[in-house]
Amino acid sequence: MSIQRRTMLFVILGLTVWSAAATLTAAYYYSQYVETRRTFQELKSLVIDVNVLMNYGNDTQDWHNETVIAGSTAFEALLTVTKNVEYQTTAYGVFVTSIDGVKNVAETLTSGRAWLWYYWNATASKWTDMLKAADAYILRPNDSITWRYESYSYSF
Amino acid sequence: MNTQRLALLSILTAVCLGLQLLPRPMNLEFTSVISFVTGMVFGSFFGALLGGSVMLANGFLSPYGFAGVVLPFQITGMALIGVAGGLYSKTATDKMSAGRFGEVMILGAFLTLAYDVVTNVGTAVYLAPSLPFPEALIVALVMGAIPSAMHVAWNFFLFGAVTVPLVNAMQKTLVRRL
Repeated sequence: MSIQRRTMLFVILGLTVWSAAATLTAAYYYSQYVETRRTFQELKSLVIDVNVLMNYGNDTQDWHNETVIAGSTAFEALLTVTKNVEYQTTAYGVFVTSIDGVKNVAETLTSGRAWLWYYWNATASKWTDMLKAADAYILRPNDSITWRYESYSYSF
Repeated sequence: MNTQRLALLSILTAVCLGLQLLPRPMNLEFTSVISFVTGMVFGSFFGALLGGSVMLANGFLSPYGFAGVVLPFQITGMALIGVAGGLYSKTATDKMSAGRFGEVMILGAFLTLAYDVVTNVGTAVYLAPSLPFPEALIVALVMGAIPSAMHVAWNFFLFGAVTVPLVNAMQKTLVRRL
């Protein structure tokens, strides 16, 4: 075999290896892309977008657009905004006592300042008290809720 | 075969088996280059015998566990590398010179790819009960692409670094002793 033919043979062998390896690698990454896309679509149906407005009662308001797992509660949405939450679990559900270091204060037996949550009623265009604990309300896609640190008072 | 050749072949087999069974990253192996070199020095038959027997032992003793249905394909693939070593030595009539480095690198990569394709056929046979064979083969080839690319790259450099000096040293030793 002449040197030229021998060189040509090895060049062809090298190119064969290169093209086969490149083709297989491309096919592998394409399959990964397809798999990841499919997983993403599946997961997308399992999550919802919600809006959370944090009102610290001192003119500080923060909007948070969060993605939560479908079936999450208003309380779980709060936990995606901040982990610095203190709460008590009662027979009626969770009662938040502090968020980001801002604690509930009982000024008298029937009044004080506390963290309360509201749901945005799009039909009435106003924040509405759901009259239930935050962990008892299941969020729906694009729900908006607010957590407000505000004064309260009860009268008997 | 005289005593010196038999002793050298035994040492190569022992070293090859020891390295093959050593815990190491998957696909970073020395068996193919040793089978190839053995084929070059001792001929295709012994290259194939060494490669095949090491893979047979590996199939049962490997730290990764029993090879199962892939085992015959591993033996065949490695035996082919040994045969290729013998055939290559027939074309390289002159002493293994620096000019051969490039050739053995390309050959190492090509034979590694061929070995991986053969073993992936084995994987396809394993997958075949749950998939049609052509589909199983494509799945095996595609899923094995990244380990195979690493294997090819490893042997590309390993063949380049080891083959020429090892063949020269072995031939010199055999000639001197004879």
